[in-house]
Amino acid sequence: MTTVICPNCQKENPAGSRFCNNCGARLPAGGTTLAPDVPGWLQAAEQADVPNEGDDLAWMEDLELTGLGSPPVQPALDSQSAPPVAAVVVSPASPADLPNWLVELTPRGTGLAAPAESSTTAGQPTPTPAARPDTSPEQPLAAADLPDWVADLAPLEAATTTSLAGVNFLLNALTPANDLPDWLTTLEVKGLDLDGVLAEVTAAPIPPALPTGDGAKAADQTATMEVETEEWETPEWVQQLKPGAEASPTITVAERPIDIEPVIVAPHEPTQRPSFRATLEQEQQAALLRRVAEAAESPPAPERIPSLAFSPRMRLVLGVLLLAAAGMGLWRPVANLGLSGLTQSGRPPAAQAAQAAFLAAQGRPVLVAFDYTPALAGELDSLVEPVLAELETNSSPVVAISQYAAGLPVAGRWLDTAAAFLPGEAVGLRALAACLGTGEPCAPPLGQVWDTEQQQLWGQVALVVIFTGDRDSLVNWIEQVGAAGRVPLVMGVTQALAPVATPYLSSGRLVGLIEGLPAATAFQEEQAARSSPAAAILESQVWLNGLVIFLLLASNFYYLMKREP
Amino acid sequence: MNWRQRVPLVVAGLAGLASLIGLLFAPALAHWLLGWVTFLAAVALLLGIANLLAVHGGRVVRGNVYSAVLLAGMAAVFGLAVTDALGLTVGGVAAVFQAVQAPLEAALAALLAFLLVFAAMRRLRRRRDWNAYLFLFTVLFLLTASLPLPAAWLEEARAVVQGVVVTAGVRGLLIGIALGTITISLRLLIGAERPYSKQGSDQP
Repeated sequence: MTTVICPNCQKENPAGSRFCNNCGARLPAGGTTLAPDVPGWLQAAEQADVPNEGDDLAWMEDLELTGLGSPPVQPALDSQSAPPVAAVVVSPASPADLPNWLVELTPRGTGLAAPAESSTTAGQPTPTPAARPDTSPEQPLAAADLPDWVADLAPLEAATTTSLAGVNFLLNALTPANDLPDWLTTLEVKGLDLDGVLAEVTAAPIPPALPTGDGAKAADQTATMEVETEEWETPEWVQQLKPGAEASPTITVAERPIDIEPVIVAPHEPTQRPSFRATLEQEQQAALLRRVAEAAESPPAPERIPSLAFSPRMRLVLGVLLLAAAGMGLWRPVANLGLSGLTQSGRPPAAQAAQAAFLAAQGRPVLVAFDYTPALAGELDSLVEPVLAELETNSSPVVAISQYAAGLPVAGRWLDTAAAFLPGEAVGLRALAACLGTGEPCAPPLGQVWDTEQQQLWGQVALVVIFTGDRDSLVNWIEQVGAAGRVPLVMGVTQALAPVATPYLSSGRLVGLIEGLPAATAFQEEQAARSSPAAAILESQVWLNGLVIFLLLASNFYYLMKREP
Repeated sequence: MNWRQRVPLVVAGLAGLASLIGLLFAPALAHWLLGWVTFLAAVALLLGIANLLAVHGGRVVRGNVYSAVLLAGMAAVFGLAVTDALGLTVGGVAAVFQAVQAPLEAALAALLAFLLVFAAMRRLRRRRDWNAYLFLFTVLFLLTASLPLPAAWLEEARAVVQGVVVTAGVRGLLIGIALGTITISLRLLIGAERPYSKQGSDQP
């Protein structure tokens, strides 16, 4: 396999490569030699069946053809003599570059002029193809003037009729496919497009230096050989060169032409990936960027202040303090702040409005919604207990419902009857609101089985009390049920949710609001006959609040004092 | 957009429109859709349980003790529910709820108080700007005002803050949430927002 030497790294590359596989440099177009584009079977013939090793097909490589090799190949035809006439211009090489037999042909008027001789004929009319009809390929050559292997070729049976058969064969190989034998037409060799090569040879513009009219200047540089193509039967010896199954991998015999990239077919030698080399400009840019990065001001380091809360020991102390504060509130015999007296001053106005709503619904069913999970039970259970007690006092039957699955067992702690599960959030509440307070029997929610008495009870609901710590639940109840306007709503919410509920109270969507432990404690304190667990929790909350206030003030004061000027 | 993307889009849009129409004009349609939603949610729950069993079953095989405890807990509660239904036990599931789930949830919620305290303490350590001081002042004020202290002015101040400042802010939030909900609903209906598909949204 002929290779191409990279002019940059001197690495061998497969024939036909445009770029070096090693360094990526562009390979010269002229670097592609004739050999890789010559069909493999022809190369094989060159190496195998040449009678005389000294006169093998190497001389063909001296005929550098356009499209197959180096730029010196020039068509020596004028445009009038295009097909079927083809010509090959031998580059102006020294006599040593030409085979001897070719040099010796010149004096006999075959149209081949030795460069040395043609240089001495400067000024004389150049023998153009049109002016030299005697240069027909039919003109016989002396057998002695040909290389031995040409003379011995089988088709050239008579030495007297010996012509430029070798050249003829080569040119016939470049003729259109219809002039080729069938088996050749089925061959498609990448890089050897016969039609394309021939068209390029015949259609290429003739350089001014070449003879167009008199051709005097070109006569000393080139020796032209014009061969007229003709109908020529493929010789038998060429037939014998027909490739078999074990032919060169660059040729594939198939029903239709198959493109094979010679570079792909060629055995590929793994090449080492070249290391990156930065150009001088790139190095300068990198240095500039490095300098800019070093010159840029780095952001000021964050102010490091010893943390009070980072130390594990400090964290442990703070945790113990918080737990102790909570315990002091719950263990009332030890630390009783006497909040009962403070809360007995009266319920908050919103809670008083709720109490009025309870009284208004006296004797009629009240729907209680347990929309909270056990996570909030510590605060909301304190609200549920006094409200249920008050409803019991008012003889209001209670029906329970929850939008949360975890709310059902929460309700089960307070009621003997199971609460109904209401799926669907806003949609479910909307459907429920359609029947609440209408006096008509209510259809049970999905999954519920109600008897007639229950359905009538739900239809006669006069008040809805919702206990929740979730904003979505609060908003859905108000927007879906409260907006219907048939049943008043009272909310019992955590202190954290109170700011969200307050606007609805002021707008009249809610008729009453019970906010967290203070309101629950007030409710419980007013129900003198009952114990007041909410008061204990409230005292615990007060202790905790006090401790948190102290910690925040102390820690932030510490950080403020540590602030650097 | 191929048919795999169009079908969920059409289904989601039609379902959304049907829900809207049912909510506003046809309660029966809404009730019917709600039944389907409940059914699908139940199926999804069963699938979740099956997935949980498969995942933790594999971990148990690999020797994970915690997964074994989880599966044992599931089996125990399921067994109690079955025995409650059969009348062999009374209030078994409720007892587990009261003894296990309620205290655990309450304990986790209580830890939030510790987290907030530590976060508040470190607020001025990280960055000292007017936001930090505003945060500190607000927290201290609300904590103090929530105490049942014998100070009428403190209670009045708290009422003003909660009735004016907090209410205004919350109303603004509610209006913003409503507008955002409308926007998201419209985007879902027209398919500009596709949380049910891999593409998600047209927006980058």
